[in-house]
Amino acid sequence: MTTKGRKILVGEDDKNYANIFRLKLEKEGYTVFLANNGKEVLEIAKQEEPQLILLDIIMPIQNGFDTLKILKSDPDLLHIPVIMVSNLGQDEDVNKAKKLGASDYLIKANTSIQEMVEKVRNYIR
Amino acid sequence: MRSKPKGRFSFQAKDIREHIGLMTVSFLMVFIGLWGISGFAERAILFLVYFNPDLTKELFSSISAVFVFVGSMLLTVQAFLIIRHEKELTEEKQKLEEALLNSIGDGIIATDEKGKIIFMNPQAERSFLCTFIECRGHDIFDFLELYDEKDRKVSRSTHPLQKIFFLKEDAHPFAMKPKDFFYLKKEGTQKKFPASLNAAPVIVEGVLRGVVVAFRDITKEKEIDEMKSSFISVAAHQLRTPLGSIRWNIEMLMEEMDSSFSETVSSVVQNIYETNKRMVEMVDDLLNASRLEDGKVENRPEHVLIAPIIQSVIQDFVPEIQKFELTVLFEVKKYMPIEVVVDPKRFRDVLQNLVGNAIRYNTVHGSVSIDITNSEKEVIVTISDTGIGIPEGEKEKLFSRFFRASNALLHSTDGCGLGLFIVKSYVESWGGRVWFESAEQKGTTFHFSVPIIK
Repeated sequence: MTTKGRKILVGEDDKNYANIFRLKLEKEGYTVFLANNGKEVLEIAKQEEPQLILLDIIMPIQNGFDTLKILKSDPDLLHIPVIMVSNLGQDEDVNKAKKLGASDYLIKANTSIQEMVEKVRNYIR
Repeated sequence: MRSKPKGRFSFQAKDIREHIGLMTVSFLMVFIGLWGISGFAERAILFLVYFNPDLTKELFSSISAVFVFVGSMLLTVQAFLIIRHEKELTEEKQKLEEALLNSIGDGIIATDEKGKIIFMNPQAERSFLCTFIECRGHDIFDFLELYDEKDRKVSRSTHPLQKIFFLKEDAHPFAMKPKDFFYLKKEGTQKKFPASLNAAPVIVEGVLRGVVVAFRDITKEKEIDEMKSSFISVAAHQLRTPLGSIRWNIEMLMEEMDSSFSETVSSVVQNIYETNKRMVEMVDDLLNASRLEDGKVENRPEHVLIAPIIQSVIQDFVPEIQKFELTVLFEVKKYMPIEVVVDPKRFRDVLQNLVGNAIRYNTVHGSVSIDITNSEKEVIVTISDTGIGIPEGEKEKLFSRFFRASNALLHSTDGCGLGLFIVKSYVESWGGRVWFESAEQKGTTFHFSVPIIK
């Protein structure tokens, strides 16, 4: 698998989740950048130009929805696929994310870590 | 409430009748007395003028007329006193009744037999933003416009007051369950408020004389209900975060564990994983049930192949299947082409619950089989197990919220009794049905259907 050098940006404020995202995705060979809030996501996205962004919704400073909106309106960033990774799993949340341009939606507690990796692989091999 | 108009009207009519009799008798006696007195006076004058001793006898016989007169006068006075007293009593009773109706927290509207408003208490006036004087004589069906939760107007033919006016067999006072309510429109505005309704016919000697409607503005209760739901929803989301994190950490740990770890360690890790999974399921059930209660569950049907969903649900339960050494029979290839139009997420949730129950309430070395039958009208999924079964007396309650069968409680203490409530609600949401056969200690077979939409 030629995942070396493939960059994934993870916007996640929960330290435990951030850590497990990093451990698992690095184990799969990806380069992982962590952002603690939406503002950081935008900064790192511009700097590192990742191939995929995993984005939590409830985050301090700037939430995932607002961040997604900005990502999808920025001509330099809108091509980057975004997978929402949240524990908000209500229909309105999923619909809102899709409407704002998210490529996929994943409810963390209802997804195994392997399924998460498979979703990532759909966008970045 | 029912006796109020009835009581007031019949009381007055009866009294008038009684007093007419009493007064007639009194006046007749007064006339007889006066006639007697005039006779007595005539004789007294003759007696005095002529001093005729022959008239003495007649004079004395006429004295009785004086007594009759005096007696009848007394009777008349008494009749007047009785009437005055009764009038006072009636007025007092009316005042008391009015005070009672006015101080009741519920809105009360009474109509005549044609449905025209004849009474409204102040609470009803406040709720509808109109005074009784303004609303008197209005048609109750026009006045009491009902709207359902989706803001659709309830038609006149399905209006709950209809059956009361037409005195159908079940036209007893109807009381609605706390969850059944309608939105009522404030008079002359577009503002609506949630209310629970009660209505009763006023029947006098077998004839409908009117209808009394009592309603309660449940805006506050609705607010509290929404607060409760949002609390559950927030709590459930907050619980999901650490539970999800634990899940991924254990999964990661299980990936890293190799044969160098002792059996104890791997068994403990496996236990943690399963317990955590159960907790996630419970939190999800709680969240789903709360959303079902709020009517917030959306149905998003799409064309789906059901065999792969069933297979993936079975896959989720592999650890439990292995633990209890169960045999799960499902022929994926045979059912592969079957496609239905259904919300795939809800469909998965239904299967997850039914397959989960078939596995959890099974016996060691038992089996679970899943079959699909399809006709032109519907697709039926059948899940059979060789488990503990459902006790005969508890079958009716099986789909109610928080219900767990007595033998299920003995078998396993975890589970919150929401699974089958969710199953039934979801299946019904897509127009299907769910039913089962069960024998204790032998097993249970659940069926649910998905109608074919053409």
